[in-house]
Amino acid sequence: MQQFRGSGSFGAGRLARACNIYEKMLRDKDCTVFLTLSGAVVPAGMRALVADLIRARLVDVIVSTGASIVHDTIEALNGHHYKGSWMADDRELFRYHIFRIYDVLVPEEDYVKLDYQLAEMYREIAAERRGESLSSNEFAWELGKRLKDPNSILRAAYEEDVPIFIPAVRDSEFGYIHLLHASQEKQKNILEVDAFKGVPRICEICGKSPRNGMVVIGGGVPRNTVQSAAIAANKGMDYAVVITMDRPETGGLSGSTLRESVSWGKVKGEADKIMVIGDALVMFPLIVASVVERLGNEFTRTPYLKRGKLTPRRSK
Amino acid sequence: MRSAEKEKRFCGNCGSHNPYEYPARIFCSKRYAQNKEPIVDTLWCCGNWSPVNQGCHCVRDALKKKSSV
Repeated sequence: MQQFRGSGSFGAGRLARACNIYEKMLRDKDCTVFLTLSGAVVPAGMRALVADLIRARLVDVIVSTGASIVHDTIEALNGHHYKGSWMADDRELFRYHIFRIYDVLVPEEDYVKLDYQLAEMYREIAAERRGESLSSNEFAWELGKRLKDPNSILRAAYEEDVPIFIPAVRDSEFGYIHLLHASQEKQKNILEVDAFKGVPRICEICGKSPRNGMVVIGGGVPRNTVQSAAIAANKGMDYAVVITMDRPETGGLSGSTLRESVSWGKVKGEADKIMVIGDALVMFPLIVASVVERLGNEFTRTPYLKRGKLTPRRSK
Repeated sequence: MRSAEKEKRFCGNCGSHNPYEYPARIFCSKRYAQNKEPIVDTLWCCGNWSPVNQGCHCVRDALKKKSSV
């Protein structure tokens, strides 16, 4: 990575700069680090990496698509993602109830087992919370409480009290599990998750933290959730690393440049920022490995969130 | 319904089947909604049988598995 930094050019230069910025975020005692997840993070094998970052306190807040958290839950419930081939016959896969995520395969029955067990968890959570609407981060916390797998992102976040916001929670298997749960006759309590309820919380985190940094894998709704919280807090991000392969010309958020984000006030003009154009599933582990090595074994970090500056908002 | 015809109507041929332990067992969301045990044998007789839903190999493989036991 140092040689990449020495080159300073093209993708190598951007990758080296991303390492510098992530390291700077972590060494800044007053910075809250947001990690956003989109795309096939878990099927690609980054689940334990994210869980390790949570446990090492190298991220403070996660904002994720529903799908990434669903994939994490599948693994936590003994389901698996298998190495396959992108050239598999998809009509045959359909007939055998096997789903394909590029060259990774997951049996439908792992989803069905997830549906069944989570529908039962929904019932239990709804009974405990007695009609209370949960924010997506409270919902994630309740799930993490019920999972035992130490490599689970949800479980690690529950144990370390790292909030996981899932702004588009219904746009994933979680939504269809809710349909199954709510379909049961004589169901006394139906679980309610309020998409708006987490907004004040994430804005509070951004607002009270003296500085904020984001590491974006992909983009989409999770990236915009963090950036919008920064605007709502009248701040803008102080540090930003975006890893994407999307292009800006379509106007979609995942490809939008960080300069474009500056125009909205989502990222400060003077922020340390870089966009790495590449496969996040390759780039992000390289960045983490490099930064962890630079920080060394003695490095410890107490997130701003944990230093009493923000009221802990654990669920009951 | 004639008994031979009824015997051909298996869960795995209806719109609400999903494999639970392929190919032997399925999860039936209709039974779950009715608060009945949702996991049933793939070759269990089902009143919601429909040939148009059957693009998959569940029943064929379950029959093969059954005959090999």
